This record gives sequence, structure tokens and C-alpha cells, in this order.
Amino acid sequence: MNCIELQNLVELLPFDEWAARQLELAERHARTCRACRGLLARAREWESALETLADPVPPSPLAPAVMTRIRSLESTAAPERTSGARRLRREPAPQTDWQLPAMAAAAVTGLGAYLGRLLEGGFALNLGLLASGGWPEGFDVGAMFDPAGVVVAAGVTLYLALRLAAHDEVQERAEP
Amino acid sequence: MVRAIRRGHSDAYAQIVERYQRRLFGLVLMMVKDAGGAEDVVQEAFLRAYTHLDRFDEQRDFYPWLATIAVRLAQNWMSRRSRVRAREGGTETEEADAGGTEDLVAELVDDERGRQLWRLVGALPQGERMAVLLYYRHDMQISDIANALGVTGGTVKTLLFRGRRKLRTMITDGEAESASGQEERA
Repeated sequence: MNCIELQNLVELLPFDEWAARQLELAERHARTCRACRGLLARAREWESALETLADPVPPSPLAPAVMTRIRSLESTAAPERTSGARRLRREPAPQTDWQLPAMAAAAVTGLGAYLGRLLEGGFALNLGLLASGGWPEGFDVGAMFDPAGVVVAAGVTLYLALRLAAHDEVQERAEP
Repeated sequence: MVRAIRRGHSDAYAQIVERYQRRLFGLVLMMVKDAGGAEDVVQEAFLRAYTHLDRFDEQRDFYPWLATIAVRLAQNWMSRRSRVRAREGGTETEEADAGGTEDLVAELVDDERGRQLWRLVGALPQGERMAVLLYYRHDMQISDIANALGVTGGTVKTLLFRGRRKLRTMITDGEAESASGQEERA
């Protein structure tokens, strides 16, 4: 690196943006060039002064004012305005009236589809026969444990249970 | 700390305000050039950060996110002030904006060397001033600065380059004046 290249680099980039190789070459050159040594030292000095400069002091402390505003916002805001605090705690969103019946319908449909698979081939499920012992003739026991059907039914039921639990939690929080 | 606040310990947020208030106030003051306005903007920035904490990505540093909110609010504040001044028949030029730091920092910065450097930074045009401050004083990367100012990374590099060059010139001129003054007195 020569004097011109070093001056250009100092002018072009802050020290933190220099590549390790550039820094190494600049320092090697500065060891043998008094003018460039001075240039590097001055540039480092004012960049460092800028980084360590004390910040102006606000006329009054801000923390009490900010915290007062936050508490006021949390205690007096309408439900719509408390969305920030709610989001902040990652609480579940309150459900609207149509969601629960819709989820129940989805669960019934899912279970119905599963039972439908059991009844395939004209077999009518007879609970009396089941209770009296032995599987009725023509009943495909294997279909009852069809993995896909079991997964669908279990998933829908679990989802419904979780949503109901979340709904109860939201209702409790909403109460004063 | 952010995790604790998210879990509902809102009082922990006071520590964040304590930690960053001076830093943020210095930044906003250099933008709006009005101590009262800077206080309002900084308060609002802390409040916005709190109410939108769910949007903060914990994998990243908190301060650049907070500073970005403050910069945007300060830009809005300046736009409102410009509109008010325009309605009142006044104008706000870049030169007028770059001046007026003298009185501000005189009361708010403790040491003379610091006051001098703040004045020099305050004398830079707005874009260059912000790029220099965010880079050197707020440890923000070029990409973070670009995001905060709403410009490209290339523009930030140009602003930083120009700002640094002017600052270096002003510092060198100041040192030369100071040296010649000492010689005259001698």
C-alpha cells in the first residue's frame, strides 16, 4: 500500500469497515511513513471520540413518565386498545360466537367420516351385538383401526378440546 | 429482559428506558433540534416499542429496532413542524435545520470537548448527520441504518462518506484555528 491508497481508504471507509488485510497493509506502510502514521492516528482519534462521546442529558428523566403512560394505557384502555398488551403476552385471541359451532361441526364431520368407513359394505353397526360379545359377522375389525381414520378423528377431537380450553382461559382473563 | 416483559413483567421495561433514554434522546435531539420535541418523540418511541413488543424479533439486537421507531417518529414530527411553519408563512431550509445546535448542547452536554463535537455533528446536513450518528453513536450496521432512514444501503454509504469527510475537514480546520490562536497569544 502506498500513501495515496492509504489516504483514499481513510477517506472512503470507517475503520470498522476495513478488511483485515487492508488494515494490515495500512499499518505496515504507516510504520515506514511518518505522514501516513499521523493521518491514521488522527482519523482513529476522531472516530473514537465520536464513538465515546457523552450523550446529552434529557431535561427531565424519561422513565417515570414513560412508565406512567404505560400503566395508564394498560389500566384504562378499551378492549380494542389493549390489543398491544394482549399481543405482548401472546394470549389467544377471543373467539367469536360462530367459531365454536363451526369447530363442533368440523369434529362431528370428521368422526362421521370415520364411522362411515366402518360401515362400508352395507354393514349396520349393532351396538347390542357388540355388547353381547363377539364381533358381528361381516364386521371388518381391521377398519376400526385404520391408521388414517384414527389420526383424523384424534386430531379433530384434540383440536376441539384445546380450543375449548383456550376459550375458557380468555373468558377468565376478561373478567375483572 | 424483553422475554420477562413479554411474560407480563411490565416494570422491567423501566430498566430498558433507563438504559437507552440518553442515547435515544441525543439521536432525536440532533434530528428535531428542539429539546421539548425530542422528549415527546423519545417518550412516544418507548411507548410504541412497548405496545409493539410482539413484533420484535428476539434474535436481533433491541436497540436498532428501538432507534428505528424513534427515527420514524422524529421524521413525522419534523414533517408536522414543517407543515405548521408553512401555514404560518415560514420556511425550513436545510441550512436552517443544520444550525441551532449551539444553544441545545450548551445546556445538555457536560464537557467542552463533547459540546464542540456535538456542534460539529449538528452542523452537518440532516441525512449525513443521521448516517454518522447512527453508525458511530448507535452501533448500527449499514443495512439497519438504511431501514431506519428508509433509503438504500448505497445511499447510506454515500451519506456516511460525505458526512465523515465534512467532519474531518471541520475538525482539521478547528485544530488549525486553535493552533493559530495560540501562536497569536504567544
